[in-house]
Amino acid sequence: MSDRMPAILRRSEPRRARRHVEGAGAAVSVRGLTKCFGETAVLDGVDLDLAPGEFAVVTGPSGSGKSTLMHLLAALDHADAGTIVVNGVDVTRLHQPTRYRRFDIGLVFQLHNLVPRLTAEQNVMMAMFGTHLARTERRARARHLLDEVGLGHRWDHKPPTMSGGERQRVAIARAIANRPPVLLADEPTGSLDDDSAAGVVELFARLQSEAGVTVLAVSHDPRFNVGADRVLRLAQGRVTPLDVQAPATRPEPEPAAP
Amino acid sequence: MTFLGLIWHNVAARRLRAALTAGAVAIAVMAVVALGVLTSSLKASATGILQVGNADFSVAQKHVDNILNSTIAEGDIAAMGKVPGVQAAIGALIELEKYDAAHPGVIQVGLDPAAQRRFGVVILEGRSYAPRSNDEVMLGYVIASALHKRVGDPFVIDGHHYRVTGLYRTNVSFGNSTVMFPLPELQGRYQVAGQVTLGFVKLVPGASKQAVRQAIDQRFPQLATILGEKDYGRADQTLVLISAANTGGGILAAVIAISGVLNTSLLSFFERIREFGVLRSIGWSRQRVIALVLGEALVVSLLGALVGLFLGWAAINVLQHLSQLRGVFHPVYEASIFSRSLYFAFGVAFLGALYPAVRAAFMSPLEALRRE
Repeated sequence: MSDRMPAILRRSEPRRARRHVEGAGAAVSVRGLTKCFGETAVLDGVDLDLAPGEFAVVTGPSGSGKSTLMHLLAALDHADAGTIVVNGVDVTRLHQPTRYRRFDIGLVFQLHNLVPRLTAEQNVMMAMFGTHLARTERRARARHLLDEVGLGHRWDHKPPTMSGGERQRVAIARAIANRPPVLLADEPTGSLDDDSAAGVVELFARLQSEAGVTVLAVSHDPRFNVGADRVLRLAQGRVTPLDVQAPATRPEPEPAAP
Repeated sequence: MTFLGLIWHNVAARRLRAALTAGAVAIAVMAVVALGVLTSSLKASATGILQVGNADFSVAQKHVDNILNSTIAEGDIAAMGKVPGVQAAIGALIELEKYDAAHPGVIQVGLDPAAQRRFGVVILEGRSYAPRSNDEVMLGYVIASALHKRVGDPFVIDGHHYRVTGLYRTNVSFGNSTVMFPLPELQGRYQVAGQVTLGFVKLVPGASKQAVRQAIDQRFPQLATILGEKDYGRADQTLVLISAANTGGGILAAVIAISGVLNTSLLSFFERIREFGVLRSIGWSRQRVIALVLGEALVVSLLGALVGLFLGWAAINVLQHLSQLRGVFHPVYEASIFSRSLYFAFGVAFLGALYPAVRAAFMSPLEALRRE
C-alpha cells in the first residue's frame, strides 16, 4: 500500500449546483431522525453532525438501530420523521436517489457484496457505470484504487479466490470509486479476522486523513474507537457522545484538492 | 469493461443455462423460418400456376376447396375471348397425378399447341405434341432431368403410355416441373370433356385491367378473376388456411421461446437479487438494471436466432427432399422471413425478460440486500 493517497482519491469540486438546505455546511447533518418498526421507535429523534473530513464511529448494542441509521443515511430506507442532509443533499426529500448514491456517498457493507464472477478490477468498475468516465479511465481509476488499498497485484482475481480482508478492501475501493465526499460503513469489520479488521480500520483512517473523506462507520469493533475522531453511542433511539480523542493524537486532515 | 462487455460476461458466466435458453429460442426461430419459407413457397407454387402463361390475370371457379378442382367450360373461355379489351383467352386443364413413389404429385397440364406460345412455353428440344394426339407428351426440362427423360423416350403415367416429343421451359420456374399433354387427351383421361381448370386472359394493349375484370366477373358470376395472391382466396381458401397455420405455428413457437427466456430470466433474477440490491445501492439507476437484464436476454435470444436460422435452412432442405413435396415445393427464401426472425428474437427477449427486469429494478435495495 502506498504511503500517501494520490490525487485520484481526492474529491473534485461539487459536480452540480445544489439547492441550499439547512445543514449544508456540515458533511452530514441529521435532525430529529425517527424511524419506527411497528410500535417500536428504533430511532427516536436522532441528532448528529459530522464536519467535512471527520471520522466518526457509532457503537451500540445489537438491535439499537445502528444499521437502520446507516440505511437512512444511504437513502436505502425512508425516515418517519426528521431530516438528513449529506453533502448538501436533503436525503429525506430525495425521490430518485440514484445520483446521490453514485456521487455523494460511498457505501461499505458488513459482507463485501462483491459480484463473485467479476474480477476485483471489474467489481470496482461496476460503480463507475453511469458516470462520464470512458472505459479506459474507469479501468485506470480502478487499478489505482486497488493499488491504494494494497491489492494492485490482485486486480484480476475474483472474490472467491481472495481472503475476507482482501474482499472488503475491494469493496472499499468500489465505494470510493466515484470520489464520494462521505463514506458510510455498516459493520465493515464484522466478518473479518483481527489482522484484516485492523487493515480495514487503518484504511478508513487514511481515507479520512489523506483524502479528506468524511467517514461514518457503525461498528462494535473497539479498533474504531482508537482510529476515529469521535465515538458515538446509539442506545434507546438516541445518539450520545461516548468518547472524543484528543486532536493531537490524530493527523490533521488534508484540505480537499482544488 | 464496457456495459456490453458486462452483459456478455454475465451471459458467458452461465453458459449451460444460456445455451439451453438459446436452444429453446433456436427451435422457435427454426419453426418460424421453416413455416415461413414453407408458406411463402407453397403460396408461390399456388400462385405460380396462375402466373404461367404471361396472362394479365387468371380465371377460376369460385369457392372451390382446391383451385385444381376448378371447372370452367371451354365455351366460357371462348366467350371471354370476345369480351371488349380481351386480346386472347386460353384454357388449361390441370391435374395432379402420381408418377412413381419418388414423385407422388406430378402436375399435368392439358393445353392446345396453338396456345403454347401465349402460355409462355418455349420449346427447348424436339417439337410439340400434335393437337389431338393420344400418345404424345412434352416435359418441362426440370422434371425431365429429375426423371432422366429425353426426347423420344417413353413416358408412362397413370397406366397410359406416351412418347416424349419435346422439352420446354416456361416463364415461371414452377412450370418447368410440369408435364404437358394435348388438351383433349387429358380431358379424356379424366372424363372432363369440354372443360378446363383455369382460364388465362391477355388484354389488348391499353385496356383497363380493372374494367375487363369487372366485365368478366359480371358476365360469369360462377367464376372469379384472380390478379395475384390477394385474389387467390376468391377461388381457393388453401392459402388462407396455410397462412393461418403459419401464424398459429409462429404463435406457438413464440410461446415456447418466451417461456424459455422468462424461465431463465426469473431464475437468474432470484439468484441475483442481492447483486441487484448492491448495484442499486452503489448508484445504478433502475433503467440501467433493466437494460442489463434485457440485454442479457437479448444476447441469448440473438444467439438462439442465429442457430435457429441455420436450423430453419436445414429443415427446409430436408422438406425439399421429401417425396411428398417434390415438384410442388420450391423453397422461396424471402429477406422478410429472416428479418422477421430477428424481430422475433427481439420480441422474445423483451417479453421474456421484461417482468424479471422490472422486478429487479423496482425491488427495494434494502430488501434485496437482506436476501441470502
